[in-house]
Amino acid sequence: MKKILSNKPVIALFVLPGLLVFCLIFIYPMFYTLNLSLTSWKGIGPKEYIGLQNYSRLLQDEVFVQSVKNTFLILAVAMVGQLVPALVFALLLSGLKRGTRVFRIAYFIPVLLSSTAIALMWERIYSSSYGMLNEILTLVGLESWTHDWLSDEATCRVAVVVPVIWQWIGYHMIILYAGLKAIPDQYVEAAKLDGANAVQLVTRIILPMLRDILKVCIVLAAVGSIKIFDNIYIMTSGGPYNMTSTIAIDMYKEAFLKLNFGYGSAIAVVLCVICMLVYLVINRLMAGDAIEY
Amino acid sequence: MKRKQWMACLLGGCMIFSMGLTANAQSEEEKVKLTVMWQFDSATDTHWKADCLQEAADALGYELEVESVDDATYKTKIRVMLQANELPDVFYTWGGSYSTPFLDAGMLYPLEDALEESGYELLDVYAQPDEDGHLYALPTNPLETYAVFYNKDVFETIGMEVPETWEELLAVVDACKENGIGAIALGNKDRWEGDLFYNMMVLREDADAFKNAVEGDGAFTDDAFLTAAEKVQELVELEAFHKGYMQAGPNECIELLRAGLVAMYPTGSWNVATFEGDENIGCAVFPGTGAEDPYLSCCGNAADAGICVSVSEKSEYAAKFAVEYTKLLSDHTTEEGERPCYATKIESKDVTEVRQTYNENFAKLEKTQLWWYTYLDTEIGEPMRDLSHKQFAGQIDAKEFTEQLQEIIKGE
Repeated sequence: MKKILSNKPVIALFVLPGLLVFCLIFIYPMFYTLNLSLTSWKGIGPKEYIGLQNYSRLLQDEVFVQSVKNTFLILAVAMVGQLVPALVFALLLSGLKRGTRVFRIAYFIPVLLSSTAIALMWERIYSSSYGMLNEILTLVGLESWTHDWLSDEATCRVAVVVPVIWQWIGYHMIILYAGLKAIPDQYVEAAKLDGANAVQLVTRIILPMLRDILKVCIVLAAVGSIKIFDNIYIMTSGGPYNMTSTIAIDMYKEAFLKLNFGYGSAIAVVLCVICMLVYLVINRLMAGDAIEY
Repeated sequence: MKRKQWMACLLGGCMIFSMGLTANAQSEEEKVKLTVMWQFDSATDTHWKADCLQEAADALGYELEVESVDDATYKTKIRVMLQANELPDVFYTWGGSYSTPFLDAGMLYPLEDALEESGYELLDVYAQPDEDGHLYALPTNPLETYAVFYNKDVFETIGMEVPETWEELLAVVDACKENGIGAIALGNKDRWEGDLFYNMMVLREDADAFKNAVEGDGAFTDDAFLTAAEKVQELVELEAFHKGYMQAGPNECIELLRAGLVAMYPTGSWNVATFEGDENIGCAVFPGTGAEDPYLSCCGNAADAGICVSVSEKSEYAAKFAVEYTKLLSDHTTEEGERPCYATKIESKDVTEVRQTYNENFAKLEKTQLWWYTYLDTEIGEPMRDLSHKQFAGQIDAKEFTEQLQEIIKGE
């Protein structure tokens, strides 16, 4: 048996079915999309190849440029909004001796809810006519702060990110909490004996030891934010006048509303490239030898 | 010998029994099953739209698989189904440019033969053949136009009449503000309600303005467009539209009007059925905000909007179903006071006040102008609606708006 499993052709034979399925589901659609992005295909009829025209058009497309800006803004806000509170909650939880289960479950519940339900719930919370947020502000005497949260240019982009942050804090908190629990106590105890205060403990001991876990969370939060679609589309459809449009929403509208499959595919390719670049940048910035303990 | 005869009888009996079973199974198999997809909202659509589906299927001995989705979902889903070559047998189109992708794909089945075979007489206004001479859609409702629904109690409270002119409209806006009531409800989250409002404002300035601009005899920067845009800008600045109108949908506007939190809701006549049960809601023409007579012209939908049939091996059955369904629907709604789409001897009874008023106003119309979006290609229509959204958010002034409108529609 050992001999068979060290035989490379046999290994290849075992891997082949999975590889074929992977190629069919992931690799083929990617190349198909890349191929479509070089056409002016409208979804019907023959595909006419137009070279890189779709890509050059992207640069002049105001909606696309706006969508890219919005996506990066969402990326920045969502990353900070998700990871900082998640880390704080994870640190607080890891310091608790009892009752962590209740908190972990409570923070994790939004992750289990469907994005559609969350988006609809927040849409109602933000509603200008009967929304909870404006009602509360009015009740506490802050009527002047009430807003058309989702349609006001000043607030709409932050308003659409809040539900995303709310949904995913628990997810990152659980990952970080597991990472914190894996750090051996003796390092923390030793630091305390050496006179490290709480801030020093976190910045000099815990965070460096948590680097690999943090990297995973940052990559997940970043890629999730770049690809964001459902929550925002349900709440605003990318409006008002594309102020909350993201790259994914723009791609969807071009392909399925305007039936510009070629152009929509070009946006999809750019989205894919951006995801990969962001991943590479994060990887580069957080490079270092793996910490073993 | 006797044993052999018994055996023969038994085998013969088995054969006849199995043949019977096969024949029965075959007739089961032959029962036509059609898929139907449409946009249906029980809160706003007449119940006959849903009920007649089964009635028509029963009359023809068909089975139906119906999928109902909301407007916005439908528009996307049906296009995706077209791309995937998975169109339902029967579906809805808003006509005009909405039908273009289906026609280009050769996926619409002509309905004139099924109509002729049925012996039903479709009224001329709806028997609009396409450029190729075929009829591809049958109406599910009579021509729809823009109207203003108003809350009678609110107007009593502010002590005013429903506005008929621009000055009266501004006076109502002022009075509503003084009383803490929204003057005009507008569900502009999905952009189209604002778009229709502006279409109507332009029509009130000059009923031929859009036609002239499209045909090159005028431009979208002409006076009619500019004045209408200035008036919209004035309404936005006066806070004439209800609080949160840029984030609201049609259903919210309906409830606000019913609750007396807004005075008026300008929208399409598809909402006549919605308000028929509310004695406190009245119907009027959109005020004469410009030079045109408000009773003579109005924006409306395409005559080629309605049920259509996709090309498949079941097209012939689906075409019969489409004819039967639309005829039944027309008869039932005519009985309730709706205008008929087919020639009929059915007389309306118990017509509600709101429908009566709408029908009377409709009868006076000399001209209906197609909604711009229905006329334009989606690639032009979508940026136009984005621009309209900006306009209603007060983010662009009237002059710049008309210049961008000209650029989007005419590319100049």
